[in-house]
Amino acid sequence: MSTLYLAWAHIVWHRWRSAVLVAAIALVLAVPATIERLLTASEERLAARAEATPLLVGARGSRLDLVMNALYFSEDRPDPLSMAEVEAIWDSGLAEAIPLHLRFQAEAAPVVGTTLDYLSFRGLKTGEGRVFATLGEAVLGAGVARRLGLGPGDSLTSAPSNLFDLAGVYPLKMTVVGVLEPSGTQDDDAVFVDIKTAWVIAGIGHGHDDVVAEDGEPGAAPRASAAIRQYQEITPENVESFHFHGDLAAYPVSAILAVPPDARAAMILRGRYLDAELGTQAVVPDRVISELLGRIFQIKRSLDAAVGLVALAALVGVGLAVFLSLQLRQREMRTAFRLGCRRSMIARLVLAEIALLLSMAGVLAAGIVLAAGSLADQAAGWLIGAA
Amino acid sequence: MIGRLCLMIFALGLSWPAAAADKLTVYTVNYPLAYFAERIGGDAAEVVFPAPQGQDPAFWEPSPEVIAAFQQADIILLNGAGYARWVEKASLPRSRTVETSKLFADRFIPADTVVHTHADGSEHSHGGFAAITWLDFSLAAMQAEAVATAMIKARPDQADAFSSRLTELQDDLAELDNQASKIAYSAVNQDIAMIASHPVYQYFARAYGLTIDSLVWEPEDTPSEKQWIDFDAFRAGAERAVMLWEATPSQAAAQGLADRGGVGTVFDPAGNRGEGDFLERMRANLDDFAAATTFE
Repeated sequence: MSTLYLAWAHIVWHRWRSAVLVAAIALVLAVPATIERLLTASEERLAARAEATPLLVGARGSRLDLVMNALYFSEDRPDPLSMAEVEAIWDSGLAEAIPLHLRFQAEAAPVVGTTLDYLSFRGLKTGEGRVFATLGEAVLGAGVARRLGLGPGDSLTSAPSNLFDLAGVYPLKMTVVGVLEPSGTQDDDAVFVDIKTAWVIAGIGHGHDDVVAEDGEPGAAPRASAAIRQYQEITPENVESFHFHGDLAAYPVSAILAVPPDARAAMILRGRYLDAELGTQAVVPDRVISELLGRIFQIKRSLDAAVGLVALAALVGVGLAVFLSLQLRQREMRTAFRLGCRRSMIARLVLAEIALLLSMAGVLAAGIVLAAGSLADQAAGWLIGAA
Repeated sequence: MIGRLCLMIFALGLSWPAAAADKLTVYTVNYPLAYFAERIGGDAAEVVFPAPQGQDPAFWEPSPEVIAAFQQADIILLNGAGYARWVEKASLPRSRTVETSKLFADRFIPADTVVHTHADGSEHSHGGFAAITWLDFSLAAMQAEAVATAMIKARPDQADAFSSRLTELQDDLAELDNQASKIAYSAVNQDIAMIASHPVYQYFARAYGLTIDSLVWEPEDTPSEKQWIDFDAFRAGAERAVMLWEATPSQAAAQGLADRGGVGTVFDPAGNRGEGDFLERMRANLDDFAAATTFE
C-alpha cells in the first residue's frame, strides 16, 4: 500500500510529465481500436443496406456508381433511364419497381424523388406529420430535420445540382409535411419528395399563369402568349396550374429499385438485362458492395500492418522515455538506498509507477474507444456519404 | 339455452371486427368504377368514392386529407386517359394503384391541344385524351375486368366469387353495348346532326359509328348569339339536329333549341353518383337517345 502511495505521490509531483506519458500511451492503444471499430461500423452499415435491396436497375455503366447513388445517395451521377423502364418492370409482373430520382439537393441534403412505395419498402414511418400527398410537399429524414431544425409546416428550397447549372434549374420552395422516425440509415439524411416534384425541380414539369382565350369567348381556342410567368413555389392556389408535357414514360429516373416476390422472378428479371446491347443493367447491390468491401479490406490489411508498426515505434518511444526518466532519477534512487531502502523496494516503486501510468492510459484509451464507438454509426454514415 | 345464445352473441362480437377489418378498402376516382367495384367486390369490399355529389369528379380537387385516405386504401382505382386531373399531382402508392384503362391505352382518343410558349422560348402543348371511356360499353367491360383482376390479386382466396360477379357485370354491359349498337344503327341512316353540349361522348360516338360534334356549353347557362352561330355551323343544313346534354338544360337553352327545330336529350355520363345506379342511368340514357333520334 505504501509502495502504491509513494508511486502515486511521485506521479502527482510530476503531474504534467505523467499526463503527457499517459496521453501518449492511451493514443497508441486507442487509435488502432477506434479505426477497427469505425471500419466495422461502415462495413455493417454498407452491407445491411445492400442486403436489404434485392435488385437495382439502372443505365449501363459503373455498377458501383449506380449502387452508391441509389442506396447511399452519394453524388455519383449514373446516366438516367426512362420512366418507361419502371412501367415495363411493373407490367412484367416480375417485381415491384420503385423509381428513384437523385439529382438535386436542398440545404446540403439529397432530394430523393420517389413514390410512396419506397417508404413502405424501407419501413420508414412518419414520426411527425404525414407523408407527401401532392406536388411540392417534402418529408424529411430525422437527421435532416434535426440539423435544420425543421418540422411540418416549415419550408426548404432546392438547390441546383451544380454551380454551373445556373440556366437549367430554378430553385423550388417545398413545404415540409412530415418528419420520418430515425432509421439509422442514409434515409435519415435525405429529403423525400414525390418523383413528380423532382421533375418540377428539374423544370420538366411546371406551373404558370393561366392561358386564356384572346377574345374571352367561351369555347374559343386559347392562344397563349410568350413570357408566361412560371411559379417557383407550389401552393394550394397554384397547384392546379402545374402540369407535365409529353409522355411521362419518357421522363428520367436515376435508378429503379426492383423488389421481386421470389428468387425465381429475380433470376428471370436479371436475365432480361443481360444483353449488352441494352442501355440498361440489373445489379445485385449485395454483390457489388461485397466486392467493394473485399477491396477495402485488402487495403485495410496493409493499413493494419502500417498501424502496427507505428504502434510498435510509439511503444518503443514510450519505453525509451521511461528508461530516460529512470536514468534521470539515478541520484534519487541512490539517496533512497543510502537511507536504508532495499534495491527490491526501489524496483517495486518503479514498477508500481509504471503500472499506475499504464492503468490510467488503459482507462483513457477505453474511454476514447467507447466515445468513438457511440459516434461510429454517425461517422460511418459520413464516410459512406463522402465516398 | 340462454347461455348458448350469450355465447353466440359473444362469438359474433369477436368475429365482426375481424370480418370488417378483412374487407378490401377500394377508393375510386369516379362513379362508374365505384359501381364496378361494388358489383364485383360485393360484401368483401368497402368501396369509397369521395367526390361530393353534384361535382364533376374529372375536375374535382381533393384535399390533402382525402388524398391521405386514398393512400391508405388497399386498391386505388383510376380511370386513366387523364381523367381526374388531380391524380397527376398526387402521390399515390403505385403498388396499390390500378389504371383501369391501361389495357386499351392505344385506343385513347386524342383531345384538342393548347400550345403555349415560355419566357425561355420553349414551346409546349397541353394535349391529352378524351377520358369518358366507359361510354363505350366494351371498354367499360375491360375496365371492369381490370377491377376484378386487382381484387383477385389482393384477395386470391375470393377469386371465384369475384370472377362470377365480373361475368354478371360484363353480361349487363354487353347488353348495353348491344342496345347502343342497335339505336346507333337506325340513327346513322338518317340526316341528323348530332351535337353535344360538351366533348364527353367521343368514345360513345366512335364505338357506335356516330358523328357527334362537341360544343363547350354549360347546360345551366343561356347560350349567347355566338354560341348559337357555332351550333348552326355544326348543324350545317342537316334536316334534323339532336342535342346531347350532360344535364338538364336551362329553359332558355331548351327553348332556343326548339326554336331551331332541334331536339334535345339528356345523356348523363354518370361520372358522379345520381339517381339510380350506373346500369339504370345508362339504360335511361339509351332510351332517351333512341326517342330523340327516332322521327316520324
